Amino acid sequence: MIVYTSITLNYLPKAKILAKTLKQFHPNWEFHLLVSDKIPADKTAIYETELRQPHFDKVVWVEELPIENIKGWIFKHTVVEICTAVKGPYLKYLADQGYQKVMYIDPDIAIFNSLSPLEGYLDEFGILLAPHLLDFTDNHQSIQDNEILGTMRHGTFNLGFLAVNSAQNDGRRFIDWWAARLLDYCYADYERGLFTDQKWVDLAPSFFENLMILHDPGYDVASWNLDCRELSFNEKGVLLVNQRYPLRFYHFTGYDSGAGMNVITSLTSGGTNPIVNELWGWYIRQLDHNGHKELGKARSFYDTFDNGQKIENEMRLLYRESPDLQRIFPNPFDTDNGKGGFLTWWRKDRPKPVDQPASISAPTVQPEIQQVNSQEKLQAQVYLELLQSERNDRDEEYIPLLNQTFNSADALVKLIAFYLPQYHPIPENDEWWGKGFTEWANVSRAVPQFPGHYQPHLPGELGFYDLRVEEVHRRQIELAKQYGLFGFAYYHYWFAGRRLLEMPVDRFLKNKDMDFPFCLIWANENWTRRWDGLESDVLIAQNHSADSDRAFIKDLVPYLRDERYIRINGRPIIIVYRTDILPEPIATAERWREYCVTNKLGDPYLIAAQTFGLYDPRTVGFDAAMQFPPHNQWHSGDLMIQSQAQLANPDYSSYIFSYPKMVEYQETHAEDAPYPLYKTVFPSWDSEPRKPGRGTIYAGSKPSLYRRWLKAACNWTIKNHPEDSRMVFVNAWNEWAEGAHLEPDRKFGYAYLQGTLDVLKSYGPKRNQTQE
Amino acid sequence: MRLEQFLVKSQKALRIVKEQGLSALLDRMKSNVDPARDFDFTQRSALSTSPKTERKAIFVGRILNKNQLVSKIQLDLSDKNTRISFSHDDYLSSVGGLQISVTDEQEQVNAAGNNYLHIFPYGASLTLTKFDLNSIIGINLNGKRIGYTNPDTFLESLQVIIESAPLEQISIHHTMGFDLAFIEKAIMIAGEPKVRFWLHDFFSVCPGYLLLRNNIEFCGAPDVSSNACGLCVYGTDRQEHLVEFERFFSQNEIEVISPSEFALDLWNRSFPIKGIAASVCPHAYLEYKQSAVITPQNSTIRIAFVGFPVHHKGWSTWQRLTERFGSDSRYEFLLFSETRRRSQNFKHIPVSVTKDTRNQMSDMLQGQGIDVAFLWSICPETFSYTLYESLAAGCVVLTNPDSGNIQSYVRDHPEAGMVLDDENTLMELFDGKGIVDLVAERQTAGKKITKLVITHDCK
Repeated sequence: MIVYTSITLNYLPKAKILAKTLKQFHPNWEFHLLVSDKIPADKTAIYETELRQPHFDKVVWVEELPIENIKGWIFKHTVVEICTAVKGPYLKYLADQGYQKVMYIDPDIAIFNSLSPLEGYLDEFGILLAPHLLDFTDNHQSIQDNEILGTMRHGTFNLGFLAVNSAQNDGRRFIDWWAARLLDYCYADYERGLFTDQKWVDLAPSFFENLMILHDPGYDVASWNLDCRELSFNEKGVLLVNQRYPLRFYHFTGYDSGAGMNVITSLTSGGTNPIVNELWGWYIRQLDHNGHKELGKARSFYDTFDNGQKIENEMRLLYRESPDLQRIFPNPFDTDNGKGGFLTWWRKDRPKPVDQPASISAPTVQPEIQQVNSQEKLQAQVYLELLQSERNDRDEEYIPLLNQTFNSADALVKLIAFYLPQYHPIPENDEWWGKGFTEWANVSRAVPQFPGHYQPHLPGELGFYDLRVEEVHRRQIELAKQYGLFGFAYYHYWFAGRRLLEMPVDRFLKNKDMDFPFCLIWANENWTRRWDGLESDVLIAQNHSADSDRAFIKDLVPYLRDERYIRINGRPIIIVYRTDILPEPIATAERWREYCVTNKLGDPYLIAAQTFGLYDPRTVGFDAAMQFPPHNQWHSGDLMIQSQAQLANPDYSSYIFSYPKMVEYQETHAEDAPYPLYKTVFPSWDSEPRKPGRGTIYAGSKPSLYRRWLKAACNWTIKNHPEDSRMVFVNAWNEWAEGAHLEPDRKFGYAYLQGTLDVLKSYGPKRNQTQE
Repeated sequence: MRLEQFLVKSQKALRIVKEQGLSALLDRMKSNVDPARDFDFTQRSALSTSPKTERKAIFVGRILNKNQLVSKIQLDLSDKNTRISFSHDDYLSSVGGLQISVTDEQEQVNAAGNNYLHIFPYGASLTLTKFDLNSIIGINLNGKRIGYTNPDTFLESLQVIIESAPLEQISIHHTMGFDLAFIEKAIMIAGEPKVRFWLHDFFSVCPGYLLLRNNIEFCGAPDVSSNACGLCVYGTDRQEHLVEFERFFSQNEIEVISPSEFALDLWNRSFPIKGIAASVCPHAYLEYKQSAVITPQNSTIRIAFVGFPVHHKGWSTWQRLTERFGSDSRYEFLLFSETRRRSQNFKHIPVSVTKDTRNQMSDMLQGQGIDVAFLWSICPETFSYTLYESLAAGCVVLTNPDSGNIQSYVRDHPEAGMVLDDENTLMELFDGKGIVDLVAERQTAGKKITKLVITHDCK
């Protein structure tokens, strides 16, 4: 038996898992690795070692395939298309060489039990196919996702697996037919009814009689069929599907996009299939071991021209459709040192369409801001998107409210969200901003400024709530608890003895049955008309002095004494938003400490927010620092994508940064701090509502990206803090006017909360080390 | 440490001394050097690589050399026999079932006028380790701390020690953090005395000593090549771990002592070598105390979670149970534990069982009129003191099929309670009249109160 898989080099860590798990059961089967890529010149040594794995019996490079004008052929295909297109010609090549039993397996599959039964079936049948689905449910989501979107759009059979015997009836006929189709028509072109190599095989049961459809649910278990395939272990530790069938192989589809994990999460949070989480946990560990973090980032050789410029889809499409171009440029990758070739033709001579065809691209990590010709077109596009979102305002990452519980006491990390006690009218705001003003006035006025700009953020189940209604506050706590949050950090507005927006927090303090830990962040800047503390147009000023220090801490006593107040090693935490404007911060800290210790409140654990250039808490006499993104280093030039934005509003002057890039940065830059540091994450950020046309946006935020950032922050915290002080902050629970809210909205539903819960749950419950 | 860090730390230290006294500072320092705090599910290998330099630094000038060790031991050594015991931590400073067993054994040995020399590895580890010149072990003699030394120094001193007080037996209570080769050398130097190996848990079968696959679910210790082990965080380490124990048991004459039939059966099934001498020696038994106590019927049923509120003791299920039925007037839920957990669904009753307050749990359960003990361990208990404490207090036990000796006892003594199939069955029992009828029946018949007698008299 020959088993082969097809990869670009970034899939190498996955192919290693496939080969190793296969050889565990079938050491004598031959494993071929088909690579549609080339080794970068500066990484020869690394890849030579990687490819010399004992499990890889043969490595075949795409350009070695017997295909006419191979470079032009490759160019017609995207990376995904080429990796599937090569499967047919290689299968034919193997059959031509006299190999009879051959199996193709996707690189993101791992083998868990013997595949010998398949070898047996091939003694009788020419073709073995594994359907995506073997059973159906009446669940609406499953019909949508698995039957309509998954199978009817992409094909009945999953071509992550295919086995043939060219010596059996129909075996060779199938190989020749399939290889020929893939040579000419292996594209993801939904309009023409094509989906790479897979959709073709829907025709196979009609064309070929001697074909077996695998009805054993132990094969090709994946996110698309998990709702009908329950995993369990028997007493011998064998992994079973539906209590009976050994799990033969599992398809870890959607690892890189996060989609696979998302499906698992939504499936398992209701308590079904918890073992899938263990399976994914194992896979992630294997990938880590195989160096996926680095190797998984490799860029495909055939994704660029030979001068390094990325090949756009439109270029491939045009080349694919034009036999003349294929004849003139047999090697379209060749740019003749940037001076000629297909690329130069494309730039200079290609016919320019009057109207750019609207292209639908797959969702990517980079926020896509499409380019059109005129301001009006952009505005029209923005308007069109608004209309579309009127019709269907749910994002593909939308997650509904799920029935689940989790006790934050079981979480390895205490997650604390900033809580804005606005959202109710107060006399001061009536006077300054107009009768009945609340933050909702800002939130609801925002409009999108460029195509793809998510505004306005409209609330989900809590609606445009009024915090004067106690039930709202209680439901917020209920939700926060349900999704694993440890507590709220309420903003504390205290201006030399005068307080604002104090009602919600004081009501909370009185109602001891509102059982949820809390702490306070002193928002110690002037209250201005600019919402950001810059010293212009002051509405109510701070007056920092020795007397106000003492008055401040004295006023805090009822909170600090409350048994729900958050403490670290018995010390109540106090967070200050801007220590940079305290005239004598060290003295202030000392005064607070002295007051608290004298009054038996415990030495307060003072946390300085990293804002306005303050990083090191020791310089202000504080115990620790807390990140406050996007303050300080977050507005890095590298993350800015201003130039890519095509703005519908000619007067727009906001800064646009990339949320995906920022998450990537956070994942890869986790330096230790020389002082105790608490990480803070934000689900998304967009101050458009507060500062129309002149805010700051982190574009492209998605719940799946937020999960990654939160996970990185939790990992760092677990590594760098002892158990008692493992806290991570979220900015914020409900900063709707800054686009930063965990609270459910119409577009994503509970996806940010679900992401929070899933990350906390992913560490398993706290482990107790007591014997017996 | 960098200078600025040192300055900040020293300023902080001064402030603590000034405000809270020296003992507060010492407590804090003590808690900071406990490497076990940094353990978690995903970083299970972190402990074994914890920096040795730091550990060594703590001990500068405190590691006993051979002469110091021998003379310190001889000061307190009677000329009668000596028993050496090994366990994974210092039983004099930690509390738990295993530590209490070691204490009991020490007191029993001392009562006979013999010496009890206890060895534990310094520095937490959740695996077997390889000792080297920098490794440190702690030594206790007859319930008093002797000090710390290196493993080789101890082995060199052992000959001298047993010349003054002959070795009678070696008790191995736990080998976590030890190098098995070190214990073997001690056995050899001691002239191959009687060696007893206690099954306090299943560490000799898997480094995941609770036998919870991925710390989630009871795995039954299947073959190490199974899917279950392949997917488990302990799977890879288990291969080497089992090889070590196989060698240890095949090259030394060792008797296995199990606190229950159940634990011995499971161990025999899962340990690769068969036919090892073994006996069952429970840590405690129940003695008839008084006639049945009839309690008034139709009052609220009182259900208690007994012991540590942690995941593997069934805490998650307890939370779901109390969340669902916390406001049901038929039931009252209580947590009997030293560790506090806050909830509106149950009341916390602080209980602290130490060697001096051994019967506190059963006394409190009886005193508070508990009808039902919720003993929902999801890992195989080898004995379960809480089972015996609950039975002594006359409680009906509710448990699940994975709870080891708890379910085994209940199956053998159907009057003791119920082994429920799973959480759904538990919920149904509370939803309907199942538990109400069970308790009513018990109330009519009367509670059987017994006395919990602790014993380690394992002949």
